[in-house]
Amino acid sequence: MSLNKLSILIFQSFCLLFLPSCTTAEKETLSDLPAIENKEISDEKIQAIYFGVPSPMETTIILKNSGAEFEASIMYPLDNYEKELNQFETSILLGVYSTDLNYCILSSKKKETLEELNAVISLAKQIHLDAVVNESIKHRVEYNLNNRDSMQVIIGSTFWKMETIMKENDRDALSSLIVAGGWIEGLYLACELAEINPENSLIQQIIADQKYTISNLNELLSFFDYDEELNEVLLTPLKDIEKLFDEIKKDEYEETTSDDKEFLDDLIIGKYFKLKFTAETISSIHSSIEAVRNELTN
Amino acid sequence: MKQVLITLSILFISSLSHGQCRGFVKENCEPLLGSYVPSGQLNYSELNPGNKSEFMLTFYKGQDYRIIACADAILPNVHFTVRDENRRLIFDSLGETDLAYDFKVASTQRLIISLIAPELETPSEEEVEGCVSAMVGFKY
Repeated sequence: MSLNKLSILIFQSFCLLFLPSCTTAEKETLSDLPAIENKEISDEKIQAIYFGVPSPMETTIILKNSGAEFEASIMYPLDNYEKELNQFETSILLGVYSTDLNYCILSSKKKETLEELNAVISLAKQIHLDAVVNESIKHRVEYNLNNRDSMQVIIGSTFWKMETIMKENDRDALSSLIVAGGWIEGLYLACELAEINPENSLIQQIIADQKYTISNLNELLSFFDYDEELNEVLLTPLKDIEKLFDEIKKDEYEETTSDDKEFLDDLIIGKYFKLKFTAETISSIHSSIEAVRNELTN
Repeated sequence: MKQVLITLSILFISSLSHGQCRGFVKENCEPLLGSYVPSGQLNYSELNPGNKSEFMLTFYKGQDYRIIACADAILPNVHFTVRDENRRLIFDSLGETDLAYDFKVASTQRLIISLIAPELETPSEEEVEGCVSAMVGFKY
């Protein structure tokens, strides 16, 4: 699909979803914000709207910040990347193992980092990304095994290049599957860690926060024509999981104290929300994402 | 409050190809993130004057973010806005001179970043189209 067609589709989707309420909302907002009212130019046409999903690195950093201990057993089995895979499956697994690789790096697990990196290099080669993800990267990581920050920079930069190359070669459909695989694994790791650490409410919050991301992910995937099998094992189940996330409701509240602001010097923007969810909803999300993950190479 | 808008000097009027636009972003916009790591996908678009592109992205509570917007010089006065999911305006870079918009979010949420190319003051006989990008980076 060309970018122009994609843009049109995105625009059409946007019109259907949002435009009826856009204009009013914009005017109301401006009247509430007199200081910047004059800066707003309201008559531009929306040429395109794009949906983004956080990278595996960002997701795993948030997970790591929850304080949960590393659990090697919850990562995706390493024997799966050597199976015979089509391009779609390879791309999804590349995302899955990328998340696991970041998880290992952030946890300073050297042996596991190299094992996951082998999987990533092998899969990248299968979809012709070996110009960016290759043995040279492995050597650099090996050289920096005792320096987590350097490894993160190397891997972060590598995946950014990978994304760029795929887009340069009009392989956005595969690139989006890498994103999907990375997100699925991140959510699965979070669900497993929540089960292992039931007292850690932060992990449950991280799971609930995915309410926002799954919506963007499904929008992103909807712009491509994937085959029937992929629709069955991935796209439809992800839409069903989005419905589970719809059960999580958000309550907006006014922040009255500064206690919640980690650093008073930082600019904090946006609304304060509290997500309301039940243990049953988290459990349903867990079993659903596990089912999707298990089907990836079956 | 820090903000952004970088207009880079690219000396052509005709439209860039998609590949050139990606190259433009990679070479000219990414370095402006500084120590922030690019988050998510490459957010770029080709715009005509009088139009805008929007990027809906998820921002996590607790993370430090930076937004950098950059555009071809062929699109003068390109600016960007940040709105919440209900399209309430949070920030508009128009007239700002700082190079980066750095922030945290109160709670994890989706924000809409709009890149806006105003109409040209002097209409061009040729079709004008330029590359714009909203780079989002985070700190770890």
